[in-house]
Amino acid sequence: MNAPDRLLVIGVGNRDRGDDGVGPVVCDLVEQLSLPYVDTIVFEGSVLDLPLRWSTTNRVVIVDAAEPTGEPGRITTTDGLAERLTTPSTVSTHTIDVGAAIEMARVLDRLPVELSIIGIEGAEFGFGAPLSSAVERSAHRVAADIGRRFPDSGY
Amino acid sequence: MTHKTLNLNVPTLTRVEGEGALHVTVENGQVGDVELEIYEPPRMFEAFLRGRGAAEPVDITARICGICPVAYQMSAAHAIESIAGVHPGGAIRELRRLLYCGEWIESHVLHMAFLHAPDFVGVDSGIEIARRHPELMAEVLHLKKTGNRIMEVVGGRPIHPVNVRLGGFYRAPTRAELGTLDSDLERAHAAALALLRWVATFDYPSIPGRLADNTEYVSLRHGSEYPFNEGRIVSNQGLDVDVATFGERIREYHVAHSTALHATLGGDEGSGRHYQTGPLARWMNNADLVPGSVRTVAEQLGVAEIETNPFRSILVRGLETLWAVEEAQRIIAGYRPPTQAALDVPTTAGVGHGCTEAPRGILYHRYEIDSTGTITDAVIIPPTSQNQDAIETDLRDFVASHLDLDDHTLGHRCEQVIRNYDPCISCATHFLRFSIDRGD
Repeated sequence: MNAPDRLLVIGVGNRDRGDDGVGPVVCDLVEQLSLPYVDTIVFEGSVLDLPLRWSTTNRVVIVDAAEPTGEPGRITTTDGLAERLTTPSTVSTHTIDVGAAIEMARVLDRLPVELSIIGIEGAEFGFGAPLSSAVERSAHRVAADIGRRFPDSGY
Repeated sequence: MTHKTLNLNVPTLTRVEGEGALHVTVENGQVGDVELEIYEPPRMFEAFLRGRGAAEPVDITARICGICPVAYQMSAAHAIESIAGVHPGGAIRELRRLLYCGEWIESHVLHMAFLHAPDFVGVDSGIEIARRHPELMAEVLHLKKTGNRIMEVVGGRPIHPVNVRLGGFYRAPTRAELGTLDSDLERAHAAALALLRWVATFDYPSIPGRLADNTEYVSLRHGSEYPFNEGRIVSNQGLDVDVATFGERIREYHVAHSTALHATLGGDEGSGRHYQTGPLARWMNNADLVPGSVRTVAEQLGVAEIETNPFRSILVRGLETLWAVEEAQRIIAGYRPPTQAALDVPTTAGVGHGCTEAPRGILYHRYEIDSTGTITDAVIIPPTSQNQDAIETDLRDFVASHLDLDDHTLGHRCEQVIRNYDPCISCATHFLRFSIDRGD
């Protein structure tokens, strides 16, 4: 069980698919900081499980790759509590996304005290590909920002 | 004169969660064409497999489906191991059953609570159900997650397990690792019961004059256990054959409106016997093999050993979920790690057959391997293909007996008819684009 006010960083993605692995990479970078009040989870399961991964007393940051729009590495931060993410009007196993998971948490009264969703725009999603350089730089920026939010980190 | 045209579409996703549409024509009150269209490349994976090594289908075919990868892994492994005469027993066999328990739990619960139940409750999604029943759905989420946790602990990942190989596993979990599932399973058992008792309160539509009542219900049957990986292929009409000969009895055939092959038994499109597979068939052929605890619940809820109303398949899935939780508890309680995580499977030329029970029905694999261990031919027949005829038959009978319904309701009910089979065409959710031309 996580103590109150701990930050939980959830990295979503597949390490074997190029920039899709940026979420797990951010988790790696945050782990290297050995932050005393931060936990990380590399998340590979069904997004419907997300509400069960955090405590209602957690601060949560979800990091995922974002769809390419021509600006690789662009970082977008969304307040998952203040803003309603677009969710499909119906739920299929293939349209269950983070927005649906958050909405499920909302109706189950399982929202954390803070919920940030960080999207890092990807460029290459090939099998076995490394992170593209712009995405890798953004991964470091995101990890550094998490370190700054928790000054004991020494990042 | 009454004329109806219904177009129902499923978004294309993968081989089994394929793109689909429904076309129904009604003239003079008579149902004409009923075509469940599926747009998917059903033989691509079989083509991929030719020229690959015999050890590879376990991983390659798992990628066919994100909901039932274990079924593909198990059918592939059993088929290729059979060529070498290797039949893993003991702890390896138990671990395989445990892995399958995880898949049944996550797949069944996802379908029951999030895809199928909204039809009965009259809402659009599982989120809406959670709004009405938050305590139940919180436990249901945990139940589903427990299925994925089993897959993670045994298979290495909660989705698309990576720990399965020919002969067994790359690494066998320790007793302590399996022990971490105990408390989850205890809670999951209560959740499975609660979910089952809730779905038992639904009103179940029926299909008057349902022709599919006369079809054959086909499943595996094992001598002493509810089937996952092993057994003979049986039916309620006397079919009782070895898996190795089942392929000779299936006749796949192509129809113009679907890129997924249809299937019949013992003859071609015209002369073959129509059949269906899945929970109703499994239950019909194996209800005597579940523990007394599950049979008692079935009796309490009024589930007979022979259930043919497809709308009641959700009840059987609930019973199978309860059983899978209990089976997982049994396996973990008696688990002793195997001395070897995998048996050696020597390269052997020949033809192998495997058939296991995916959550939505029997999944048949056949491989031809040459002396170098290279696959020269592969056949994969998933349950959704096998059930297409039954789905179309149900749709035909349902439309014929419900022409008085308004367009919206009829369309919704047709979706529900399809979802009764939990088909891997967009995993059967609220997917249908619906329009009716009444010829006015």
